[in-house]
Amino acid sequence: MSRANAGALVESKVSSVAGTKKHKTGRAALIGAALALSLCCPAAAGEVTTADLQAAMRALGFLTTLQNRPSIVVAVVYHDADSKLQATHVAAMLMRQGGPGSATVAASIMAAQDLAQSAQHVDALYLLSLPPEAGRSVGDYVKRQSVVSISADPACLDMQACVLMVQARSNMTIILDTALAQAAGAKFSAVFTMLVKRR
Amino acid sequence: MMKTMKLPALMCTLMLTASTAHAQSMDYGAIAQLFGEPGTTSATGSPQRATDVPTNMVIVTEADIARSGARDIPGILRHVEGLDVLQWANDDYDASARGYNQAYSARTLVLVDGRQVYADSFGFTPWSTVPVELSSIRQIEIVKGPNAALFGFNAVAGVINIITKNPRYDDSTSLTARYGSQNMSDTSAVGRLAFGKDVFLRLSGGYRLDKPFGTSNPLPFDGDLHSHNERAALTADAVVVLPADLELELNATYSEANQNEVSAGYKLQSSEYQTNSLLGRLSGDTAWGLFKLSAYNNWFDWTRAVSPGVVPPKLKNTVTVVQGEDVFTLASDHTIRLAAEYRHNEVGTRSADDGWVSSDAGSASAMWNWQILPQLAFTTALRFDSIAYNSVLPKVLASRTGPTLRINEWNFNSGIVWNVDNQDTFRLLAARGVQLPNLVQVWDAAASQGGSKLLQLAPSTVTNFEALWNHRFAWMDTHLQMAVYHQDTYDVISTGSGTIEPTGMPGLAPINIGSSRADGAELSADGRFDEAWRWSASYRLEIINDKYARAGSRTDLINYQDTTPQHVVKTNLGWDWSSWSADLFLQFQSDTVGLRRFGTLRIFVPIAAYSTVDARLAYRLSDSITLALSGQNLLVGTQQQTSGPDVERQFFVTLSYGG
Repeated sequence: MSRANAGALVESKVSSVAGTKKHKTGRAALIGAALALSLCCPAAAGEVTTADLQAAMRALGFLTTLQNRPSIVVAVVYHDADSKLQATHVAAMLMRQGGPGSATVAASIMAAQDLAQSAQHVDALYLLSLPPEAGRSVGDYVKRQSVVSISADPACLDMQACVLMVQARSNMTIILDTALAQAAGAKFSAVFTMLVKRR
Repeated sequence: MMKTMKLPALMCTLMLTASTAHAQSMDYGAIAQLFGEPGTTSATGSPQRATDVPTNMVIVTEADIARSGARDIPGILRHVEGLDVLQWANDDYDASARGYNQAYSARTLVLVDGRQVYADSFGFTPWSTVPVELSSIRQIEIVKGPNAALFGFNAVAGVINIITKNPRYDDSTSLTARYGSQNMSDTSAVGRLAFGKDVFLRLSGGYRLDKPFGTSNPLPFDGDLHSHNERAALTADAVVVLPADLELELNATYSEANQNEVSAGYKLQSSEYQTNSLLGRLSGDTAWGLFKLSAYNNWFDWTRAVSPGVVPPKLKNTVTVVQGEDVFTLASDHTIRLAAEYRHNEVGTRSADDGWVSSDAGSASAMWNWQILPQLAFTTALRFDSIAYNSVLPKVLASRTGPTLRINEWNFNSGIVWNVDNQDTFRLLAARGVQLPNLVQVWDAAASQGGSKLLQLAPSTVTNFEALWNHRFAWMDTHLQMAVYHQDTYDVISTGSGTIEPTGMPGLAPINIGSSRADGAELSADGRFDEAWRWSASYRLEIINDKYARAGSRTDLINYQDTTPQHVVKTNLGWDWSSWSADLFLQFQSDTVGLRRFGTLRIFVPIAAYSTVDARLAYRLSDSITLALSGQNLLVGTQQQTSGPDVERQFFVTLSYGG
């Protein structure tokens, strides 16, 4: 019950992040929801850890189009009702920790199946674990809208859904899909591309 | 100098053609923060994570430097596994990877941000002249084994590349005051200024004054000795972000050091050094790769103190280097580096009448990194160097035209890195490097041979084969590394005179005397426990066999097999709690012998096995101010560590701000 309530609250506020100027209200609500979630059900974040998200945002700092930006807009992409709650939690964590450098993050959540119809501008997509068909549609969106996508799920690479796979476990693993990056027009600094694994 | 002056025109040309450049230089801080480990370009020239490099590399971080308690760079290096550091006198050190250490050690190339600070004249690194303050260092990258395919001549035993903080990315403002035994006073300051968003400047300087050890000197004197050692250094480093987001770095340094030291001829002398350098570097991240164009000039002047009425010897060494490189990726799994270099090197003595010796070297190199599988990478690098020597002999000799010497050599570095999983990494490495005779040796050899057509002196070559295994244990967050290596050195060069005589006349000419072979194993581990505790331990076994066919009755022999300790153990235990931090470093090395000058001969003296303890206790007074008490050689008041004067126990109190 508490999960569903929190998710509904977050969704209503998240929509205002992109569409209106109620940014601060949405941010506070998201953080509050995340705190509530983390208190009631610490395992809700599933596979995505704070370290994954920190690394993902730091990796975005090497994206030439996002360097020196005061703020960035990130959409957390989920697949079903179960993962929607996790997306809410991840969005809240992203807003709390901030973006590359000193940039702030305006995070929203978005269902994978709604991406095609979305007119919302985002700088990056953060993908939760997605089934193959959803992953492929995300990949199409990434190419069409020239958006960079990041995930901690290695399966996203096989689906050609994520430009970057960033997984912070005992070792930091970062894999760049060069073909998708090129198709999405995502230009990372050459230093970064040489430091990561490429495929 | 002429080569440096031509740089702006070339930079303008590149600025016009590189229209799509992006942020380019290594932001070491951001890389370490993202990957949880340092990044480096000192293995292949391409940016790499420390765990991916196809070399045996140790990276000493900024935190390691602070915790070392050291007051100078050799004091930090003596704690590094696989590095041998000999302390001949207060402020006089020689450092060498994997033994083969001697007075004026020639086999390890030392650089600051890629600029050579190794002195080609005598073939060694006078550490006090290195114009770097400890608080301005981002990390020290140590490659063990040859890395000549990237760095060229003299990178045969290893490479020490000191990386300073980038004024564009790092706010390195700091003040340090240190006072200690041997009447040591040492101050340094580092300041960083930003002019808008595109111009950044770092200024740093330091001054140190202390007394030589008071222990008795068993070596003969060369000239007169000073009653104190002195070191001063100034550095200005500017980074300018140019249109099209190219980056221009300009660096100027000055240093001066007067110190009692042991020369290559195993005599105690008071050397007086003055060095200057100018560097310009243009880099960019363009559509055709990560390119870098560098040009620098080093000026190195040396003399030594003499008795009143005696004319002092003088040596002037000028090095001009122009380097260009481009690193680019092909498809998703190939990285290529292409590079070319020109180098002019010249040594003169007191005046033109005394003659000079110079060399011109051109090189071309290529590196190919192939990521065969996500877990498996193969890297190979080749470098071709061609060097020609010319000399004009002193006017007192019958012929003033010295013999010519041309050296053409191939160097290579190859490695396979297999990251089996998150726990295990295997590396297989093979490398070949070339060590040139230093310019004073060439000068001595040229003069002894006179006007013959070709100089009979070959460079030494070093081949190294190595296998490494890295493993991570969950227990105490332990990282283990095991390495076994085999190294052959061919055409070992005897020392020769090892100095410049006050008369300016050449001294004893060196010759190629034979070969040397080393077999060794290194075991090192580090980890943490109970949050507050850090630890590390290493052991090295190395057995060297010298095979000198032409030793005869020469008086300038060098010895590696008996002067290199077979067993070396280094340990560190560290503790951090609240505002307190403490570190203890214990080292042991087995018995060796040392070389000592006795008349015209060199004799062996036994050096018993010894242990040393270094320590640091620090208290953070505020977020930016730290007070530390540290010391070196704490076990006993005086101790024999070399064939020179015994070293003394040393204490320092350090008050530092920022950094």
